[in-house]
Amino acid sequence: MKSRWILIYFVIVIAITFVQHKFTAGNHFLEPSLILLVLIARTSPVTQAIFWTIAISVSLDLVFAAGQVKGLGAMVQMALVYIMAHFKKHIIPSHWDLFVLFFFALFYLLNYYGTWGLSELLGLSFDTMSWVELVYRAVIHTLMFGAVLLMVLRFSKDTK
Amino acid sequence: MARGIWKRSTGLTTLLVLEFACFLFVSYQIQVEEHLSLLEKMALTVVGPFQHLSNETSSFIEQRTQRSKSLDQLAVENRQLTLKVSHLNRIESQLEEERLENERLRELLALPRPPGWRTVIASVIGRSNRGDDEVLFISRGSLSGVERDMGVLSPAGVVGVVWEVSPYYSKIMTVNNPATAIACMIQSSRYADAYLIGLGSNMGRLENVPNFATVSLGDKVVTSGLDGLFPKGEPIGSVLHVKPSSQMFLDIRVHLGVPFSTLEEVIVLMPTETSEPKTAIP
Repeated sequence: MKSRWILIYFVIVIAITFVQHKFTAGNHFLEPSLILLVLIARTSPVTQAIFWTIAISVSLDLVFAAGQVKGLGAMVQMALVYIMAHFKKHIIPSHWDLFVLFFFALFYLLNYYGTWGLSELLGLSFDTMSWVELVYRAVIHTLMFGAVLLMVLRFSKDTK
Repeated sequence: MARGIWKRSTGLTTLLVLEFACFLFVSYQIQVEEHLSLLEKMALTVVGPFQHLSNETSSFIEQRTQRSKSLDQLAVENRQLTLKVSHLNRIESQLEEERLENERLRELLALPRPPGWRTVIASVIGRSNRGDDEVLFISRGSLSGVERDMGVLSPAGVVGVVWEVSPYYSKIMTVNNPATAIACMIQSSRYADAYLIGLGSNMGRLENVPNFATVSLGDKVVTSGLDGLFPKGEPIGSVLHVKPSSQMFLDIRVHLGVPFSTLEEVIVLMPTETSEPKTAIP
């Protein structure tokens, strides 16, 4: 994925987060940054993907998170991006995008549980949610990711 | 070979280094319990203008939305108030009507009741005038004791005579009807053998007053009571025109005191046993 497109998506992510931050008083339902991270990991080399992940995640934390420990999510997300990148060589190339779609749902759940576990380990507070809500959010985000992925596959030239 | 191993493990090394950096970053935040004011300031400096723009845009949209909502609410309130005002106008109009009716009824009730006569108050429910044939319809009939040839009064004076009666309604032939004749007298001269015939509108002609009788313009004409329809002395009108005629009698025109076109309530006079028997003039 080209840096130019990553920056454009990042601006869109910031805009969505801004609007959401404004109208939901900090209670973020949508996490468009996860979609961007998986899209980056889908086509970028692993090192580059990890750098983009830490940059995006920490900068979003610095801008939007208030009164929380920043960088916790970045630790989990970097690990997940690394794992995803390592799957690539074991998946048939033509099935890669389908795998990415399913992996995104897993990514969402693991990001939640990973951040929660890390918070527990470090003795930090963590806002938990019921598993029903978690699954609901995961489904919504996966659908959104699927829509974005379809658009990327349809209109983007650097699909792989 | 070492290069190949390095190349293979670049990803892992990068991950571990960055994870470690993140861990230090997180640990530092937890240890000092501060939130990286310098980094936050830098982030704020970069993002501040965008945040400002976003705030301005969202508050503009919010204001517009609220204004639109308040305009809608105002429109709804305006409709409700308009309905309420029209409703109140109707009530005010009804109240005004009732007040005026109350005043008129008080006026009627305040009229001195002639001894030996019972009275019934009735509302005027209709008028008819074909040419000079003036009649009124009132809301009382035989069930209220109204009978044919009973006199009808108003605070302004004599209205007419009951002509036809049904159980609930009656027809009144007013004094300005040419078919009516009321026994009357000129108050100043006390000449009592006259009778009044209607001429339509608010005019009447005094008949049977001889040329030698003393009649002046403005003289009051009242009932004489000789016909038994009305008690003596009820006002009818005043002399408007008097002129000797070639015959034996004066030509006298009387302006009737009752405003027939605006009459709304009347009193029907009912003779009791003590009052004089009726001797209606044909």
